[in-house]
Amino acid sequence: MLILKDVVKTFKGFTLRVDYLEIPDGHYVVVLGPSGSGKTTLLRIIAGLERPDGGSVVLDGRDITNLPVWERDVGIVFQSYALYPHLTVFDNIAMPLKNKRLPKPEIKRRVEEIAAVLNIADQLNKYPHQLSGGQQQRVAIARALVKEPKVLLLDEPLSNLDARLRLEVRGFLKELQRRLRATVLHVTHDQEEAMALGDLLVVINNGRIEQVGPPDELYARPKSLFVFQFLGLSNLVPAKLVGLGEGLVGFRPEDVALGEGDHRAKVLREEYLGPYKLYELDFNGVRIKARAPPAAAFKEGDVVQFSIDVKKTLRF
Amino acid sequence: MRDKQILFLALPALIYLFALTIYPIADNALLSLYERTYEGAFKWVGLGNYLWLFQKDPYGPLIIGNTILYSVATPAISVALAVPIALALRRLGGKWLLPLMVPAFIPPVTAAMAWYLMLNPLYGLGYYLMKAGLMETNPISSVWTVVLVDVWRSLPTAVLVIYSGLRAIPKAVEEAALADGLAGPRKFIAVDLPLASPQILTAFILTALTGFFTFDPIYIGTAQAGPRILDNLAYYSYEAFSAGEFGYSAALIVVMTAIGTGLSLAYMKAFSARSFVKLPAPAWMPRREAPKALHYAVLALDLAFVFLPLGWLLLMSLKPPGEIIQIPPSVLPSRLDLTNYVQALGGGLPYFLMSIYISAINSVVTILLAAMAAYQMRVHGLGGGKLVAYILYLMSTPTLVYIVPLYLVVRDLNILNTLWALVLTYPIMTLPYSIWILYNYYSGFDRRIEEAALADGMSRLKAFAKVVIPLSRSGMSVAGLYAFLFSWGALIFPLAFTSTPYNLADPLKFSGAQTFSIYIGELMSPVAMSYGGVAATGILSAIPPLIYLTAVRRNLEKIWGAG
Amino acid sequence: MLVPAGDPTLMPYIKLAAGEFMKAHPGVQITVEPVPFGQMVHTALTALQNKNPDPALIIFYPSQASTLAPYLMDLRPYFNSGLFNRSDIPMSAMVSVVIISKNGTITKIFGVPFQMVFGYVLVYRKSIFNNATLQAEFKQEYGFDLNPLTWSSWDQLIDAAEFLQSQHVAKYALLFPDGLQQAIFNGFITVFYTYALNDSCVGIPADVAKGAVPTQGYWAYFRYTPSGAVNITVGCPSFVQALRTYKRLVQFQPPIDVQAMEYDQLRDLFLTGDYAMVAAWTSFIPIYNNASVSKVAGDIAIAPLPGGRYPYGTGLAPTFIGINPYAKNPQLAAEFIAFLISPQMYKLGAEKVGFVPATISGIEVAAQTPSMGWLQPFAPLLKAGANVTDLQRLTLVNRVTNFFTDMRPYFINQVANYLRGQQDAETTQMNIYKTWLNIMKIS
Repeated sequence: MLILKDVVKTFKGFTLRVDYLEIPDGHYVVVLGPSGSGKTTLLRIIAGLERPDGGSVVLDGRDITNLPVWERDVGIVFQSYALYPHLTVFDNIAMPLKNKRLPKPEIKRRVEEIAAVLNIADQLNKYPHQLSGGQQQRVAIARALVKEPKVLLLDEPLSNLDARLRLEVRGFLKELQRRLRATVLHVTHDQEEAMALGDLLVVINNGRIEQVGPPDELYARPKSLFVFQFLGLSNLVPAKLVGLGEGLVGFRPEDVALGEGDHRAKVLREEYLGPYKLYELDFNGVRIKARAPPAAAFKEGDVVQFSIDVKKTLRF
Repeated sequence: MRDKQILFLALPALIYLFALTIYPIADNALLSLYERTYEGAFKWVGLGNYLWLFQKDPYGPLIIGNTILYSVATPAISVALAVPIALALRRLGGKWLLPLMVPAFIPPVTAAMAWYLMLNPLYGLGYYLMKAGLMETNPISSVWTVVLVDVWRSLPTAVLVIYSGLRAIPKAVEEAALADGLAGPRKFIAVDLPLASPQILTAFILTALTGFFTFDPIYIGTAQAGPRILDNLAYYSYEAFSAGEFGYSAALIVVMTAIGTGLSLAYMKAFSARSFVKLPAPAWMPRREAPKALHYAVLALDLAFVFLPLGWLLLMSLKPPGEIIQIPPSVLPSRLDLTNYVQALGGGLPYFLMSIYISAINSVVTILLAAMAAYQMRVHGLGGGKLVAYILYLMSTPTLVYIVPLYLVVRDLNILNTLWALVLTYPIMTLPYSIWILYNYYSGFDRRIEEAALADGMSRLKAFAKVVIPLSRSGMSVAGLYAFLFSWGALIFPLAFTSTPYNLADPLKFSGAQTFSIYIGELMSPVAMSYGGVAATGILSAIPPLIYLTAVRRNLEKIWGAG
Repeated sequence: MLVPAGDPTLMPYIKLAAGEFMKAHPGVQITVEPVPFGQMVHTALTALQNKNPDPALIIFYPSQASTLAPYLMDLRPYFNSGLFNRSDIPMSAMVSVVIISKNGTITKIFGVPFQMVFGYVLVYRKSIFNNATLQAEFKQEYGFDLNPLTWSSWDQLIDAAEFLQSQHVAKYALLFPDGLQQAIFNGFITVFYTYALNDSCVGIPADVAKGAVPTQGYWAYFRYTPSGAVNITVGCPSFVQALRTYKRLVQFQPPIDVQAMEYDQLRDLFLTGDYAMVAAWTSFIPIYNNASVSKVAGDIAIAPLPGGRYPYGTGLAPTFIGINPYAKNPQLAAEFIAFLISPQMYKLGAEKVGFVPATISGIEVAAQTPSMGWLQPFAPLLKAGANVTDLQRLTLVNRVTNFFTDMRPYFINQVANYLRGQQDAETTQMNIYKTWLNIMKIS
């Protein structure tokens, strides 16, 4: 288990502060936040590429806060893969083991083993520039895993991939984690990816952790306006407009039923997404989004009636 | 369908080069088969000159050996020293790069003079070294002193190139290395050195060229070593030429160019290879980073190495004339005396002005022509590998081959002994090197920029002028710097094409075009009697290139970082 | 006209003469182009080979003569017409600029000597040599006078130097040329020639042996064999004698490994006052006497080498002037030359700038000038050797096309090795002999 306590890191005008964060073993944890939120800094502090100004990082009871990178038992996969261009795939993967002074036959065995797991066993004699992007990533993962680290850190692993590949690799990563029963910390800005992959989500914004929990909990019971608006699509209207008192009311598009109800709004735009349609409506000057079945026939300019599932609303 | 405008843009440079270089080179090769007779005619001797060089000339093998020594020892030492210095820069900050670069921009004759005066056992620090028993003979008499001066001059380039190579290593790879347990010297051997190896090879070849063409340290050291002892083929061919032995000189040039081209082709291979050198990183290598103090020590040593001879030169230039040749020599002048500078500026003003004009004009002309050609060569592949090979070949051809054919051209155009003679001929010296610098530079250039301009409706010409040129500023300023430096220190062309100093009475006629390098040469002739004057002119001759260097310092790193 | 920079009296004299000539010939414009010594030949050749009419007149030195020979104009018509007074110019000074055919006839004269430099001569400190105590002690110990004008051998010069060194009258007793660019070459010949005079193996013609050594004596290295082939005299016994004496002569100064004494050093080091004697060129005399830079100004006297009684170590080093065959007005150029060597102009030159003439009448006139009194012993020396007849022998060296370019460097390095103690005299002689024979090119 990885615990961060009272960790503080300040850059020019930006401070990352983590009072307490627990990463349980065997979980796929996703750190999610917009650019500049401090998520990468968090990763780098855990990795040892940055030293915090204060606080501690404890891994399985061992305080690794001030240990050099290679003594932390942590594997890192960089966003750009950062493979050694002058070494073969085999040598790339073997590098961490060579530095642990393992005997050659042992190194060979472990490299071939992990290469097989990652489906690159037939690429061992090639050089990085001869591989495709996806293959390079798997080499980078192999290199991180071959030393059997306690935690695997992934820095925006899907951001460089095109849409199709992204889905493929998404599945691959999750399967890998399950298979190896590894503890994975995956950093991303993409909320869809985060919700799809994460057993546990850590939402971070402006240097502070907003909420930690499984995706469904964060989606249905967000503790802050930020979390609510960051995950999935959301609507936010003044409570007065829907007769619910003071403050703001938040609700999801799927909790809106078009066609009948107490409220009225004008259709501005419709998007056909396949499994459902998404309508954008003007509700007394406020824009809201609503889901509708694929067959819905509302047109631009129509005024429609709608209702909101009040049980699902959130108050801010 | 070949875009004609691509060719058109590169044409001025290419026409100029082909027109003015192919004939002289071919003519020189032919000339090497003849010998000048007593009556002044040319007699066919076939391979006679070559046989003489290798078999009869008492110094032939020695001189060829020296040529190879200078071309190998200089780069070996420069690179070996440059690596720790580049590491120190990486650790302590690139701002130290500027002072370390100074020697590369001191004209060669000043550099040789500075070392000679400093090591002189009668007038220089050498006196004290001998008294202390650290020195027994005059060090200027050794081939290794020539190597020393060349290393002094070429070390900055090696440091720059290797430093950029180290900085070009992606940060992520360095962090991955940390994660893998590589740090300190172990990381250096396993990651830094291999990934910087293409640049190390580049630095090797560049400094080899300095040694290959070295001239002034030989000229100065010969007085103490004896004739021929220090010569390399470049120097020897010049001496043969000056003595009227044109056939022999031509043969020496052919041999020399063959050796030089061999080096250049080696460079080409290294440059286009993508492979890196792989080094084992034994697990017993320490991981701890070298202490900052060690880096500071390395930096301090290099700074001392750089500024000691220059400091001595400066001191000497400020001494009253009588004090310079007093024995034992004084280190500090008894009083600051500016007579040397007054003399140098007074007598040297027309020469100084002419050098400034031609250096400025030629730099601009060269970089424009070079940019036009280099861009097409790199981005559009104009001319392919063969054109690049020819450019490299030109770079190792001594300018000596051009003076006889070009003299006729200049004379027939009636521009002998005017500024225009220099404007016409100088690009031969500077264009190949500038094309090559910009060729390297454009390897990192995004061709989509030009394509976007074309899509906006501009012709290629316009696109080049309005879009490419402004964005090439950093590369062009570096190419311009080297062009400026070559022009500033050029001696052979002005000697051949000018005969009187710039006539200040009629400044706009630009007649009389002797350059500052000629003026320095006059001061160094046997009866000039003015070490102080030489020192002062040396300092003055270093100022314009240094001003230019300071102006473009920001761009220096960018030029190599792209690789 | 092309004028090499460097000699302190040359440029002033040329400018003076040019000024006077232009006054006498209004409408004539003479432009003087200074050129560094090292670039002289190069500049001249470039112009001449490309048939450039400028410069019309070219000044050059003996070592450059053979390179420029083919390109300069033949001046025999001007000698024949009397514009140049043949009898006033010593033949011994003309040897470098005369081309002789195989059967002995002169086929070309391409230059006129107009400045004479005597070298090497002995310059010594009056204050030291006029010291009565020293004179008495020396006479008692060695049996002859401490007066260079009375000496007749190198041994005597060396004895005096040893004496002065032991007396510590100056830091060093004698400064003798051993420079590696040319001073070894022209210093050694000074010594060799004096021994060669008594060596039948070298065979110096009798009429030459009477006066100052023509063109420093290099011609003595070559002679014809009876069959007409060319042999070198390096193998003669006088050569080894000269080597040994040479080594003894250079022992009184810093060793050659520390500082070789070349032209610059002979000029500059004597000024410091550290030396009692120096073997120098007469062109240094104005500098030695220049009080603003010289500590020995006014304290010098001059004698031939090795001594006044046996002055045959001092040779002639004329400066020549030639005409560009493509000049616009060669006749005018020739007239300027005649003006340059006229006694009136020489007188003016001697008085105003201390210029040393090359003609017999010129030297006599100049020697009358109060500031040039030191020329007195040299005027008869020039006259005595003026009419030399064995031109074949004297110009043989001109036919050796690579004498200065290939043979001289080898010689210098070998003798330097000997002076450094790296090889003995016999080995030095053998090396030079064998290599010279192997590489010399006779046209």
